[in-house]
Amino acid sequence: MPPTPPLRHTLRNGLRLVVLHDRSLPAVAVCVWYDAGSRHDPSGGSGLAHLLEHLMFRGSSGVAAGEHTALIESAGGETNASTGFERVLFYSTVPSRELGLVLRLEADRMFGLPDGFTEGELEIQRAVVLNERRERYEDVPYGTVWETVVAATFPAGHPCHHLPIGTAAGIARATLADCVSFHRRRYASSNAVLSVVGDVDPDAVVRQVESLFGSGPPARDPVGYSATAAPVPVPASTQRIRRTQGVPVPALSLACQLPSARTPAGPAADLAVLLLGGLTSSRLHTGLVRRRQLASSARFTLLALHDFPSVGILNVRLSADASPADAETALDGEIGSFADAGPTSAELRRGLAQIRRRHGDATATLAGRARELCRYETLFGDADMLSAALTRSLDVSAEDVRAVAALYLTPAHRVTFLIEPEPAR
Amino acid sequence: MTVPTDPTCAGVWEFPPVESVHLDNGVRVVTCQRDDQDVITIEWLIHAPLWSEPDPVRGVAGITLSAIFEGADERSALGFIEAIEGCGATVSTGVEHLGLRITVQVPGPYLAKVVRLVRGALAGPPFPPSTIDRLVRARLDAALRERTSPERRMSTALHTALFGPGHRLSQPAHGEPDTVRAIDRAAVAAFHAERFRPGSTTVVLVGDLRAHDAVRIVRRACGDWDGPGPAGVPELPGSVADGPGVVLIDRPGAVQSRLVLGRAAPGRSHPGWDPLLIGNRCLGGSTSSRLNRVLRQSSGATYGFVSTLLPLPGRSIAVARGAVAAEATGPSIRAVLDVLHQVRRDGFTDEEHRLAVAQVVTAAPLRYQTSTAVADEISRLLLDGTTLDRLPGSFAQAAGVTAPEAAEAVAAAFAPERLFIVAAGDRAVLQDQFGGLGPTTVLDLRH
Repeated sequence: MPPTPPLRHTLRNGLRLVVLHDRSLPAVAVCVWYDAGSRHDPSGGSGLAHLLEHLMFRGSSGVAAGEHTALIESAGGETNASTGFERVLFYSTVPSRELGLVLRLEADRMFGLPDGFTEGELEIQRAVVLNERRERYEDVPYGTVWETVVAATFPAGHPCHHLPIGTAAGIARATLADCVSFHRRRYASSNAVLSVVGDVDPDAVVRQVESLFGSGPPARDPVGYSATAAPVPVPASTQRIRRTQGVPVPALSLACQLPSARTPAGPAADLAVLLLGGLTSSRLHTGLVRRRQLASSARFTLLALHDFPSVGILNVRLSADASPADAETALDGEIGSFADAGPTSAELRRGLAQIRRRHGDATATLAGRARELCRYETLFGDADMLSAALTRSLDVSAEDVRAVAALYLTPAHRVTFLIEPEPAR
Repeated sequence: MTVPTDPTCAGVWEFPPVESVHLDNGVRVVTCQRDDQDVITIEWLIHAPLWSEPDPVRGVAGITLSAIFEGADERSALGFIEAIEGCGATVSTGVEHLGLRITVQVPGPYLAKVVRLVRGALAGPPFPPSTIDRLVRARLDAALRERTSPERRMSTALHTALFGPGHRLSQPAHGEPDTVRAIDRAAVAAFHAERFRPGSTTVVLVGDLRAHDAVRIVRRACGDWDGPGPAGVPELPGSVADGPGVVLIDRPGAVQSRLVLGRAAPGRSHPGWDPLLIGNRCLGGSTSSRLNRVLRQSSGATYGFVSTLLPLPGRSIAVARGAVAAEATGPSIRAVLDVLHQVRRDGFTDEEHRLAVAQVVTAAPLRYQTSTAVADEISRLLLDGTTLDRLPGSFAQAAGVTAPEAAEAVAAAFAPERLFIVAAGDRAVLQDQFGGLGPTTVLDLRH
């Protein structure tokens, strides 16, 4: 039996609503997805989009600072948020009877957030975010890899040059006026998709949402980024980066632009990354870890982007006595033979089986289903495409995968980053 | 904004029914049917707590667990993982002080094949010496990396304070380099023969088991596994020390300090467990809990400060932890201790209590949405020796805990004057901030 399609409804102010009736639990998940990711940050690594995400929990017209999360937690629910390059999203799951509470809270902050902005709250959230940055990146062995290779992959001035969290200096400079301005530009109904998944009556949800969100103003800033840029080579000046840090063994990382998730080659790029380094049976693990014992791990992952090229990043932790040059030669050999001959039919089958399960994992919870519906409504223009997404992901040939590897995993497209231990004192 | 419905009045969710049978050869099969969950999670638990390892080869449990999947040669090792991943399945292993875990997620239609593969691995390959050597070398490399991980060093330091140096709990689960180097084929084969027995194995299955005839598949695959009876599980040796005590792990140049404050507390089978469970939620189990309100929401001193209860046989370790800017380390430790003194003096508010009960009781069905989450909960209970009988009614019991009971349990478990405090940060910045916290032991993270 085909899955029931979600109900889609657009309010007059442009807010798009997606509702899916799902009786698996007496609960409901709500996701609000704003096109307000860090690509809209003013230049300079201000981390404004992410800072705003934090401020969204610190009070609005009718909700006191800290009350938003406390009300949901007191209702037996959970809530959180996440900021990426292309979006910021807020998600909550609560017992179904508490849907009204979540919708009222979301409406209040969509339209009444700046009422809660104060210099004091900004200072506290600035301190929290700086601590988050230290905890996730600065104070972690090898923690700067991601930031370094992304900055080299997308040159200065590119909307994805800085990570969503921003730089320490940029975060320190953000002002309350910047926050108000960002909110005014991006947090508007026509820049948002609201999805509701759970044990609810879809028609009643439409009425509830119309009444709570319908009178809010439309966006002031039209959505940008309609075209998808193709992957481009990396400038020669940033192709190779080498640093010494307080780490115990060398690490070699490689990053490259790959076809965006929205383009026809997107699924093939996903599969190329998976078959080269996303599994324990992948070529890089087999070649570098198991056979040659040059590394203790070799993991290739994909950051899927939609309006920009996606980013593939390969992290290799070298064995204590291995030379980085040997590891890089071995890596080149594995990637080269994959790009020449493509995956075997057994590899292709294995990769597709893993993608099928991964799709199930992404939609295994109510919140996961709500998030994916928002993603398809926002980035693909139709939430109902989620049901066909798996079919699209699986419609990939060995030649498609080979072609992606041959075109984009070349040295000219790569950033290579080597971290070596500081010399013994 | 309207206050949500009182969770204690809304009907209490029950953990889905769990059934348990023993096969003739001693394998225990624990099942939990979850309709429509087509990805089945299987946890293979080997009841071999790490204090059952021979002392000279501590770490042998971890090497053995890796070695069983390596087959007789490189080709068969690769063939194994290719077959598993070709089914769309994942397999991961866990070496925990309480025992060993093999966690498998598999789409239902491939269940029989994957169960056969794992069951075949459990019986033990010939353990070629070259494979054991490679695994030992890889482990020594990993140990080198782990030495610079502040979290791992802090965990070791806290356990050393509680159980003393040299105790198995005070060492990394994968062993120290000295004993890992001593592991050879004979040690692995001996540990495998001693501990990987049908009678020492539990298979936990969660998902749409009926749709895939899962119990029959496991019976068929495991029923012919011959072996001696279950290996005896030794009692956790030694006694546990109480604080106060301060350990500073020096990380020159660190921009942040990582903090752990901990102490031994009652375990899940203790009558005081439910009050402690609710009290821990009030203290640091949620975004809106007391520690986060004081250290994050009011001052921005941390990205998050949480409290948790780490299970051990017969007891737990009550732990509060978080990371703070280097210059705020001393004040943050004092703020945590002040919170604990305040809880002892004034208890928790009704609002804190209501939120904690809602999080533990009302939110329970949200926590157990996936087969993986349900299997994980069952496995944790089985590994720390808790019986499964309490599971269905556990949320109703927790809902009955009052605010004073919760505060009393936290005041006793997290007694501020008895906590061990472990801080990992830059000694040069920290040493002047530790006044009044007690005598401090300094360790160097680089060695």
